[in-house]
Amino acid sequence: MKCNEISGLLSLYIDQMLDETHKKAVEEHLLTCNSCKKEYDNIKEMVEHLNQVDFVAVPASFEYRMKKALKEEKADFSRSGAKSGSSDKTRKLRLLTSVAAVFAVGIISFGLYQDVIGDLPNNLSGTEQAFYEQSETKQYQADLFDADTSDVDTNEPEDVSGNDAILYSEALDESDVSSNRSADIIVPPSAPEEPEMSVYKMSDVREPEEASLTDSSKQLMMESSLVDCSRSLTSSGVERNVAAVQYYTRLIEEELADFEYQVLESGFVQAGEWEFRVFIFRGKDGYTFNEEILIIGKDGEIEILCDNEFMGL
Amino acid sequence: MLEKVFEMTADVREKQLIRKAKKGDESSFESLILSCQGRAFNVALRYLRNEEDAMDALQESFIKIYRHLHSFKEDSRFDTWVYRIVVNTCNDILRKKSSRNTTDSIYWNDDEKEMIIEIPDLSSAPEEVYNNKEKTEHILSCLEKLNIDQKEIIILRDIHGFSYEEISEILECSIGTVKSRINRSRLRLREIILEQK
Repeated sequence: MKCNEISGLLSLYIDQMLDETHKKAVEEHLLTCNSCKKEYDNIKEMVEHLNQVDFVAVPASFEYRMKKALKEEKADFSRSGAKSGSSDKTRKLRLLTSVAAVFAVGIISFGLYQDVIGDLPNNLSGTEQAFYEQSETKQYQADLFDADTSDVDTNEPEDVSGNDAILYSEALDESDVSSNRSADIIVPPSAPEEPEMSVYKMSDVREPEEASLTDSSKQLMMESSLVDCSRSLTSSGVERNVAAVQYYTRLIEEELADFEYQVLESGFVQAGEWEFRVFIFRGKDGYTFNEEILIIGKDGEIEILCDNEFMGL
Repeated sequence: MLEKVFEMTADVREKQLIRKAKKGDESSFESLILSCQGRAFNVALRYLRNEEDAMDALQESFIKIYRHLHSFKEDSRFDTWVYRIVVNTCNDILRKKSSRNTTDSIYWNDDEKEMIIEIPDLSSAPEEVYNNKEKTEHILSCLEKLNIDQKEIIILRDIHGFSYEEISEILECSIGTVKSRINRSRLRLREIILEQK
């Protein structure tokens, strides 16, 4: 055996962990190799010294410390045990609360969503509906001035007929802070005493029969549309933009009522400005143009950019 | 033969105590830990080199044992399980301490003059005892220069006389690993001693 192999076996030899063959091999090597013998002697002596290291008695204070610690541990354990007994109930309660919270958030979100895209037109009555349904707007405008004679929804006893015009303006005031135009909106003949109550009635006041638009109602519609447009301009969100585009599209429809045309493209250009590329096929008298014009929707009005004076625009 | 009978009786008694302690019998638990308290304390003392720290480690270990006694498998040796927990607790304390870098020597006080551990009277001649004392102290101071793995195995094997099997259980490693670690650690300690001379 080589010295490095013997060196690897020295500890096992000292601890009498070697089998007879290896034991003999080590002993024979140690008889002939001074270097390994010296190493063996050093380790043996070192181990013997370490074996003599005295045991230190456990301090007397330890017993008291340990008993105290065990008592505390037991108390903690029983406390946590009691806690764990009630924790099942707490856990269930927490789970139920979480589920309820999720539902509540869902309901509130749905309500908010409805408010943005659904309720707002209703709350603001015909003005917002004009963005969506022109016929409904017209109906509302008719209702607005026939309010004194309009039927009141029997399901809404607090509804006050005739308050709609002021309600309408108030609704605008409440909902569109950016617009000062609401102040100019016509004042109804009889001031409402409970406007907020009637806000809910706006959609209910509508008469089923078709009514024609008067000049003043057109004026009102324009004013209200302007305010609504301002709302669209100042509000963010897809719904608002869609409302604005629909509004301007309706104005274009009115303007180009006698034309055969197609809106090629519509889009938001910058704050409060929408652009519509319109292709005119035929004019009022049936004259073919096949020309593209540009219509800018801004501040609730449309501006037609057309070079062809024959179009009459 | 008689020794074996005593051993078996002790084993049966230990198992009974474990069963009682598992059921919450505090006095049985105290009897159990009392059987290995002295050795466990000295192991902790060698690791941490400070009586207060050793007591802290021992208390922490015993509380852990109390908490987890239900998970102890009765086919294992209780004392080995205790020492394993003590060793692990000491290593945790050392790791925490090393980050703070504040260790006190059990061998030397602040001015490195006063020894704390007394070497027993080996009934040898006074000069020889003195030499023995000095040598042992020197070896112990060299022991501190080993890395923790090497020091650990020397403490368990050479100072506390645990068998290779016991060490493999305490340190949760194979007998082969224990053999090679003991040999390497002793060779390294010898080198350090020779360097320090």
